Amino acid sequence: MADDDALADQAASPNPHIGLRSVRALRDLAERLEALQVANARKAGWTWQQIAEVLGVSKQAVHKKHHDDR
Amino acid sequence: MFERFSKDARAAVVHAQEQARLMRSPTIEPAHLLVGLALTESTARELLDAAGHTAEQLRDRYAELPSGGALDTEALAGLGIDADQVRRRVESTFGEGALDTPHKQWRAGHIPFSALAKGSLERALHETTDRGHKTISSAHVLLGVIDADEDTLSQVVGSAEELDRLRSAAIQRLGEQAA
Repeated sequence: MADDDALADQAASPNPHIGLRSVRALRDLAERLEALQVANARKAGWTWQQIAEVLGVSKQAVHKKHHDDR
Repeated sequence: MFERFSKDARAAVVHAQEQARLMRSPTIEPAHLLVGLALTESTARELLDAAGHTAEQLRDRYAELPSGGALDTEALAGLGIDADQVRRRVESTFGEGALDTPHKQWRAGHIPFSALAKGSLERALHETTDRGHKTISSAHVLLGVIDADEDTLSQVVGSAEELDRLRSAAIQRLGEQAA
């Protein structure tokens, strides 16, 4: 594992390959957390509308994306 | 093209599709084909066996790669995110495997070949016709797979040198085969 300076450099890398790869990694993590948390909210009785509001997207978008999850 | 496949080569493709499904991949990738070959009684499996590669080992190594469905922990570390810690916390609340690829990417039925996997089958066809062979055998598919996605496959078999050794072994085996 690199030291702290090297990590900070990577996060703000001007190298597109490294920068884009970190964006992709972050999006992948966010997608997994979203699926998990939306399913959890549904189990807790939240409506699609409530979930959409907190996520900052439309009700249609969140329903379309997650209605067949898990 | 599949009508030109030998029986074992076809079985390997079926196994590859099953692997893609088990790994919740939206597409069949060259690495799934490699695992499929290792799972099928075939010349390709003999070559992989001789080099000490089992299907299980190949699949596990692939599953640890971002392209195999794992989180890119290295890139996340570059952003200051400790992915293992995120996983531990999420799993302590939601149970083991909670951070695995969402189920919605998992589909019953047909899983399409990725562009790279299509490329590997096309290469397998070329490897066959270039040698004047009629049937696309498991060894031709192995060669096609190796050539189509060298980066990923090198990591799956351990190193680029190891991948080269496998390629040479497959070429040698095909050279012994009569047209």
